[in-house]
Amino acid sequence: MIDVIYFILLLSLTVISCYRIIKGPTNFDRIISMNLTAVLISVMFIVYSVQTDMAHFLDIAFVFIVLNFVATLGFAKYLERGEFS
Amino acid sequence: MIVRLSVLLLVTVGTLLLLSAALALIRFEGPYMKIHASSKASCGGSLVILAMLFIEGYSQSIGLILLTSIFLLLTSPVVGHSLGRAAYQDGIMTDSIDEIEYEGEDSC
Repeated sequence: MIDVIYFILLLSLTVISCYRIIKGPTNFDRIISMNLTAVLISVMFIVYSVQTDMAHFLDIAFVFIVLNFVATLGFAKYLERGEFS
Repeated sequence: MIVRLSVLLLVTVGTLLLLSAALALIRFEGPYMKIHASSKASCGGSLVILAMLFIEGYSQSIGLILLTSIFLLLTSPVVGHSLGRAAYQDGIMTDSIDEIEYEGEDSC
């Protein structure tokens, strides 16, 4: 029971940060929100894999975090210089 | 009993940290405050939740959870620093940063 409540809480936090992605005044707000959303989604992956004893989701969560790190650094470099270099 | 109570405590603390990170994105103004709040609070909340999974006794592939938490601990400050530097290079200044006057000589 408490696992379901906890999962719904994490899902509502993801919806809150997706709101800032859609309605962000600047591009920096969108990138920060994308980073937080990816972290929340990977935490949800890990919690779900522990609850259901499926170890495959741990691999997916780790790859998701690595891709999120690379994507955020790429967007930061692009906004800093105006080009990918 | 003690394990159950500690799991509940860690779940509460981690969810409150993640809630503070998500509320900071809505309420704060300017990129610097959002970067500051969301990078630290999301890293802390995720690490507390992963520590809860350690205590709960999930021993099938505990190494991958440990690897994920170490990677999260290493890369969250890097992302915050890179985004902050990009915002500074892009010319976004706040009033509090504009009003800083460096009184000492520039030694660096």
